[in-house]
Amino acid sequence: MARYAAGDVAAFDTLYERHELKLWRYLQRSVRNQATADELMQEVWFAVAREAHRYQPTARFTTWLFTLAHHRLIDAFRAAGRQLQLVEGGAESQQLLEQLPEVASREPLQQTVAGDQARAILDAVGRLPVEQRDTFLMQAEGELSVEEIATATGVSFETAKSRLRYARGKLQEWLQEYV
Amino acid sequence: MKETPSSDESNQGLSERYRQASAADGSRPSDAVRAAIRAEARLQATERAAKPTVLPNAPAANDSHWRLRAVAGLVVVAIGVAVVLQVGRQPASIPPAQPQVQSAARVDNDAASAKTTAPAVTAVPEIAANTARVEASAARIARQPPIEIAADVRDKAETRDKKAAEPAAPSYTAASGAVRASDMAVASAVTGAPVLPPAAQVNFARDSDQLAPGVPEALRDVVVYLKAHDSARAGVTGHYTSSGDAATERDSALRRAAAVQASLVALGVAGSRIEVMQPVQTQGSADRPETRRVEVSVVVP
Repeated sequence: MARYAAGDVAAFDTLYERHELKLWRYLQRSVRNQATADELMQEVWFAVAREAHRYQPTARFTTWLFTLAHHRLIDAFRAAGRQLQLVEGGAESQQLLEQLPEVASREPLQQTVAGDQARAILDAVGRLPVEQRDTFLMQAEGELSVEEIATATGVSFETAKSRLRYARGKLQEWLQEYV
Repeated sequence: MKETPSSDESNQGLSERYRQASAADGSRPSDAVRAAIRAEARLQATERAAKPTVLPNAPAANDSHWRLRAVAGLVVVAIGVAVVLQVGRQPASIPPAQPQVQSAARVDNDAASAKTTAPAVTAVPEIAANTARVEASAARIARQPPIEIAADVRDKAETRDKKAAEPAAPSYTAASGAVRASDMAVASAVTGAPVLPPAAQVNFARDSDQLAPGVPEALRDVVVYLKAHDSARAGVTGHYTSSGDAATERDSALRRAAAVQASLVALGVAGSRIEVMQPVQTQGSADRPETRRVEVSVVVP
C-alpha cells in the first residue's frame, strides 16, 4: 500500500492479484448475485485506491479490506429495503435474506449432494444466517482471526467467537447428515 | 466453550474443505469490473502525483480515532491564532503557529481574522512570518477533500470543494472513502460524460460476428470518455466458448472484437487508441451469450 500511495501502480496490481479472489468470494457468497457482487467489489477497491495515501499499517491490510467490504455488504442489505435483525440463531434474518431480490434459487440440500460434495458445502454456507455466514467467510476466505473479525464487524470478541462456533457447528451438522 | 484439539482439527478440516470447494467453483469478478478497478487505481495514482494531497499528521483512512484528532487539531489552531493576534501589542518573541489543521472551514475563518489584523502587526517580522504560515496552511487545507466533522463545517467544505474540483467529482466520507454507483450516475447525468473510465459489453448472436442494432449506443459512454480524455486507451477483448474447436472459436472472437473496434472508429475514435487484446476463453457452451461477448475497457495510463 505504501508503495502504491507513493505512485507505484504495479504495487496496486500485486495487492489486487493477491486479494482479488478471496474478497470476491466473500462478497459473492454473501449476496449470491453476480451483478451485486461486481458492484460491491468495485466499490471496495475504488475505496482502496482513493484512500491509499491515508492508510497506515496499524492493522493488517486484509483486515482493513474486509472491514470495508463488510460495511458495503451491510449497506447493500439495507438498501434492499430490509431491516436485518442481528440476533443469535438468525432465523428471522434467514427469512429476510431469502426475500432479498435476485437471490438465486436453491434446491433442497439433499438434492445437490449426490456426487458433489463441493457444491454441498458451498450450498450449506449459503444457508447460514447472515451474521454467522459473514463471520465464517471472513475466517475461511480472509483468514482473519476472531479478534480481527470482531474489530471488522464491530462486535465483542466473545460474540464473534460465538458466531464462528455456531457456523462451524451448523455446517458440520448439515454435512454429516447429507454427505 | 473451550476448543479441544479434536475440534480444532475438525474446524481446520472444515475450513480446508470449504476453501477447496470455493476454489473449484471458478467464480470471479467480471472482466469489466477488473478493468475498471485497475483504471481507477491508475487514475488515483496520476491525480496524487499531480498534486500533493497528504497533510502532515492527516488522519489515517483506517484510524479509528480520527475524530478526536480532528477536534484536537482545531483547538491547537485556535490557540495558535490567538497567540498571533495577542502578540501584536507587544514586541516579545512569538512561538510559531502550529498548523495541525483538520477543518478547512474553521481555518479559513481564522485565517481571514488574521488577515484583517495583519496591517497592524507587520511591523514585527516574526508576526508577519507566522501570519503567512497560517494563511499558507489555510490555503493548503482549502484544497483538501472534505473531512466529516460537523454538519455546518462539512457543508462549507463541500461547497468550496465543489467549486474548486471538477463539477462531476462525487463526494464521499473519509471514513468509508468509496464512491457509490449512484454518485457516479448522478455525476454522469450532470456533465453528460462518464466520471470514471467506463466499460462496455457487446453481445453477439450465435455464429455471428455482425453487430446487432443499437450497439453504438452501448459504446456511447466509452466513446464520450475517450473523446474527453486524450490519454485514455480502449482495450477490446473478445470471448469464446470453451467447447468446440478452440482455434475456430478463437478466430470468431477476434472477428467480433474487430467488429467492435470498427464500430468505435466509425464513432470517431482514432484507431491508434484502440487495442484488440488476446481473446479470452470463457467456460460454457456456445449457447451461453457470455461466451460470445466482447468486453471494452478503458485505461488511463
